[in-house]
Parts: sequence; C-alpha cells; structure tokens
Amino acid sequence: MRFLFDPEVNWKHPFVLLTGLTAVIASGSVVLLFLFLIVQSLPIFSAMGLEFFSGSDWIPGESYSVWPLVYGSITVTGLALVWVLPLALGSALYTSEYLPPRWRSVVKATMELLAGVPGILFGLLGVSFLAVWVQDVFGLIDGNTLLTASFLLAGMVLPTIMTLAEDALRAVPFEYREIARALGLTSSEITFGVVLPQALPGVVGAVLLGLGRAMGETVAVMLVIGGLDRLPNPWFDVTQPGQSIPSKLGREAAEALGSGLHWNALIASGLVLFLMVMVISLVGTRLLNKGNKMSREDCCGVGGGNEPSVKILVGKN
Amino acid sequence: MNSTLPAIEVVSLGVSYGEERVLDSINLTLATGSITTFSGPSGSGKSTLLRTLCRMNDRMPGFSLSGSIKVFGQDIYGDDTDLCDLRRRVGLLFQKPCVFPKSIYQNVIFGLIYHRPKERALFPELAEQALLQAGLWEEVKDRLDAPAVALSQGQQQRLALARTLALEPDVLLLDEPTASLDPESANVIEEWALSLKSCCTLVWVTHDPAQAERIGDYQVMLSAGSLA
Repeated sequence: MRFLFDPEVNWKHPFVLLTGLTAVIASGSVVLLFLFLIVQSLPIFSAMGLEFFSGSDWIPGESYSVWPLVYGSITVTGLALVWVLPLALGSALYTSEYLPPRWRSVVKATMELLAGVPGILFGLLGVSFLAVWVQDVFGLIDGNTLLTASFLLAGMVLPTIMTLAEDALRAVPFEYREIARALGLTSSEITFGVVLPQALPGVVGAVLLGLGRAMGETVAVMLVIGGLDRLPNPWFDVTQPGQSIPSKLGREAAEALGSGLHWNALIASGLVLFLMVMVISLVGTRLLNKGNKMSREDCCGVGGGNEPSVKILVGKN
Repeated sequence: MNSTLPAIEVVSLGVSYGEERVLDSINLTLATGSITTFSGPSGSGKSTLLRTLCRMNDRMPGFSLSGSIKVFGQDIYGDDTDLCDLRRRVGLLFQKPCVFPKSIYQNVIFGLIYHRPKERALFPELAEQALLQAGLWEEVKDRLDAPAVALSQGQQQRLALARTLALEPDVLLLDEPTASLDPESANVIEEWALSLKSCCTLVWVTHDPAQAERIGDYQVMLSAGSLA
C-alpha cells in the first residue's frame, strides 16, 4: 500500500482529498461503464449463447447476431487502412525528412486541425459527394456501401495517422541522421535505412491509434454504409450495403431503449466494440511510447534527441 | 594515395551563415599523414572549419562559402563532387559517442553495407581490421553480437571510430572526440588515434591546449573565424 499512501503527503488536507476524489471518479467511471456494459448484456448471452457471435441474422424479436456487424466494422476499417496507409506514411516521411522546417510546421498545423474536424462534417461530405461518386463509378443502384464507408474513414483518419507517424519519425534522434550522413549515405538511404526502422514501433502505434478511431466512428459511417444487417453475398463484395457496430448502435439505440432483448443485444454489441477498440488502442499507445522512448534513450546513452510529442487522439468518439 | 599532393589545401576560405561571417580568409595546407589540431575559444569557428572539410555544413540554413578546398587535388565544392564518396574518403567522428541501437558488429559494418554492398563476404575481415585499428578488438571480439549501447562511453567512441575506419578514409576529422569522456577513456582514444597516422591524415579539434601540444604535428589556432 506504500505506493498508494506516500507518508510525506498530508492526507487530511482538503486539496489532497479533493484531487483524490476526482481521481477516483475519473477512473471509476471507466470501470462503471465496463460493468454497465457487462451487466446489461448478460440477458442476451443467456438467451442466445454463442449464437450471438456466430449467427448471421439480426431480426428484432427473433434472433440477434453481432457477426455481420463485426464483419462490417472490420471490413470497413481494414479497407480504410489499405487506402490510408500509403498516403499517410508517404506524406509523414516527406514532411519529416524532406520538407523545409517552415513548411513542415504549416503541414503539421493543418493536419492537426483536420484531425479535430468532427465526424459529422466528413459524413456530410460523404453523403453529398462520395456516395454519389461510388454509385456512378461502380454502376450501383445505391451508393451507400461498405466501400463508401471505408473511403470516408480513410479520409477521416488520414490526418491522425499522418501526424502521429510524423511525430514518431521526428523522435528519431537527429544524431543518427548526422552520423549516417557523415558515413556517406544518401538522403534516401538515411530515411529508409536508419530513420524508418528506428521509428517503426511508433509508426505502427500511430496506425493502430488511427484504426481505433476509425473503428469507433459512428455518425459519418452511419450516413454512408447502407445500414443492412447482413453479410454481403458473396462475402467479399464490398460494393453492397452493410453495417458496423457503432452505426447500428447509433441507428437503433433510441427506439430499442427498454425493449428487452433488443436493447441487451445492442449493449452487447457495444461491449464487443469496446473490447476491440480497447485492445487496438492499448497496443498502439504502448508501441508509440516504446518507440519514442527507445529513440531517446539509445542514442548517446543519454537523453539526446527531440522530445517526443505523443498525442492521444482516440477516445473522442 | 598520391603522397606528393598535400592531403588538404584550403585557399582563402570564407564561410557565412546568412549575414553572419563565421570563417574568414583561411589558408591552410595539411600534409599527408600528419596530425593537425584546430584549437581556439568557443565560437572561433573550429568545428565549422572541420565540418566544411567534408561538406557537412551544406544543409545548414543560410550556408554560403567562398574560396576553395581541395582534398588530394580535387576541389570538393566543385560541381562534379560525389558527396557520398567524399564523406567516405573524409570521415568525421563526432564529439558525443553515438552508436546505432544494433549489435557491435552491425555498427562497424554499417557504412560498408551502403558503400560496398557486393562484397559482403569481406565484411567480417574488414570489421576485425577496423576494430583492431580503433583498439577495441580485444575487448569485444567474443561478443560482436552484443548490443552496442551496452558498451561504456569510451568504448562507444572507439566503436564509432571503427565504424568510420571501416570505410578506409584517407582523411579523418575528429570533432573534440575526447571532450565528453573520462580522462582514462580519453587517453585510450588519443593513443589509438595517434597510431592511425600511417593510414590517414588526421585533423583534430580540441579545446585543450595541452592535448594539442601532445598530439599535433601542426597546431592551428583560430580566433573569431580567422587564423591566429
């Protein structure tokens, strides 16, 4: 208990008590949320059993299966990742390694601003342009599909991933670049042979944090995903409408409140989402911190190098 | 290398960063196989002069240069200079010992991977030779795969020296290589560096007049950007 009760702290001081209380409330709220999700989803687990995870239909009053929603969430975020990775990493590399410092700060400021744009605004853009464009290009009856949602998500998480990956690249100590240059390496050899391998944990962390944000995004996805609770047929045809967990919750929560199993099924889906995002964010944050810490400590045996700036941008959904 | 040519010839060199004149009318001739020390107070331009010899200042904001520098007869600020080859031939050792977070062996062969990619079979031999020259071989020969960051500061500096020597430079520039080391490690570095005279021309920046006296065949004093 020593770690909890530092003998030098006056525990009866009102300021200590007050801040202690706020700390308990803050951390307790997460625990409460988790408990709420578990307790409220118990009825659906006892009613459906494993069928809740393996079934393929969601028909209120009859059967509930989270699988099409999980499939939709994973497909949409996975595809978004495929679209966004080359763009985000390419621009992060260029900004960090080649752009003159003045322009670099302009690009960074823009990206950080973009990362804070509310999802609904992206959703509006998606409805007005993206869905129409997908409909035209693929010759579809309806442009609201899994593919459309993945494009939209890619655009939404691009600034997050780009700016965090760029931070990870900048956290690689300047000394490494100097030494490599003094050894006669070219700029691109330095970038790909020295900087990128060193920054890799941080870059992967950035990608995972972006992924976590994408997975939890509700409104924008809801507007363009199509809202159909079943697996596409064939399963890989992403030009069909689908459903992700958050978009499902956003659509039905209000009407399902107090309606028994339907409500419990939604809460249980929320629990599944919570766990998926939690794992991704935890791994991402760990890698990001590890990467930045490693870069700082390994160089010159002392705390050389740039200060890392880890910004956690997830958790706002 | 052609020993009739001076290793380095600096003719009326001037260097500015933007408006600020850092070096002015420097004329120097460094004989092949000699050790020259640059010393002078902080801000006298000795590091700038050193780094100008391998064009490591090129990317500093506002850098401009007048006059000429020849390395074995070749004007290194000429249009046809291959920067990568120049920096291989004119090696630079930094003040702070800094190794890559890789194994000892990987650190030594780091430059070779890029400069002699087709001769990988030779790397173990070249690495041994470089470590011998830097006086580190006996201490690390049984643990070449150990992480380089586990070495002491003095050993890391000698590893950095070996990393540069592996490229078989003609000129070795040392930017206060012992300034951040304890006296004993500094002595070891000094001893080993002196033994390199047979294969390279050395230019050594130092703060310490006693050290300059001890090791320099020629001593160059700088003051406010000019030769004193």
